[in-house]
Amino acid sequence: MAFYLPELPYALDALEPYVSRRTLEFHYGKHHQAYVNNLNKLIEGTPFAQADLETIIREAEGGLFNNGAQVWNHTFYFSGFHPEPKKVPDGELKRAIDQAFGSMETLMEEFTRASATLFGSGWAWLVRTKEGGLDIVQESNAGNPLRRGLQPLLTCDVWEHAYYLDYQNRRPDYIASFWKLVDWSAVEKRFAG
Amino acid sequence: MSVRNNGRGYYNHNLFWPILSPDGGGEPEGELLDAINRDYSSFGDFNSEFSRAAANRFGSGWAWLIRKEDGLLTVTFTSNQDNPMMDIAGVKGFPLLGLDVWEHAYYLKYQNRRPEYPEAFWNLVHRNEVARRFSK
Repeated sequence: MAFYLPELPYALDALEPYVSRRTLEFHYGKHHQAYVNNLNKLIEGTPFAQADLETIIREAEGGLFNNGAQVWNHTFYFSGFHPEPKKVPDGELKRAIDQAFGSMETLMEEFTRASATLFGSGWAWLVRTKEGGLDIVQESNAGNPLRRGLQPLLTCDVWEHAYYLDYQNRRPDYIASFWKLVDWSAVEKRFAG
Repeated sequence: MSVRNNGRGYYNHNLFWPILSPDGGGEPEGELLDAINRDYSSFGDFNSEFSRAAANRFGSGWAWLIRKEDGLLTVTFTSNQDNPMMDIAGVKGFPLLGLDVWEHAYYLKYQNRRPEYPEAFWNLVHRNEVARRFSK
């Protein structure tokens, strides 16, 4: 099946000043689009020609996996933001966070550390484990936790293209801005789903 | 891991800066050119293969021209700050030329247009420095 670039759930300048319009023009308009285009070319004539994205992430290798996972990862990353986000989780998700990390502050500290220390290109993830608990994991390059049976709840893209135009080498400043945009109602929906 | 990352990052960048020159570019001469012509059909062929490795490999890393233990030259790629002299390198050898293709190396100037970056690199390569490394 042909894949399409999903619409951004907000305007290109809606995340300013934390993520600039210019960054989104490249990150969403060029990089995300290129992964979609590459994936559509690569699946032709393969056993994955009719597969959905999750199957490609779980089973494909090489360029097919890289481009399929990057399509999924970016859609997931962008849809975790909102210009007027819900700033703290509550309900079941809040209880799970308190149980796994003790507090929201600790979760944010650990997730920030995972994002800041990931060497090279990749993604930091908050995930639900097979046992139902929460955990924070790092994945290199196109890595996606679905591949090892973990359910993604939130991700931070630490490929340099995600922040270099706005923050250059100041990755910690980018992560601080990331937290200003995370919409906990989106994370709650993923947790409930 | 952190020692590996920072130590190799230091080595790789120390190799990288002297290779670049505002008066760079052009074909190498002498034994280096002979070796390139022996292992690639032409200098242009070698350029294309190196540019392709730099442009197409996925994620952060370095494209290299290396001399393998058997003396032959080849183009290779290592992830992140790894280096072809490391035991874990897929193809091992002594680096003659390296190009940093972490996004930080080109993003401010070329953004997502990664293939334009190795093309520009060829105008900066200081062939005497590469020849000096070849003669080691």
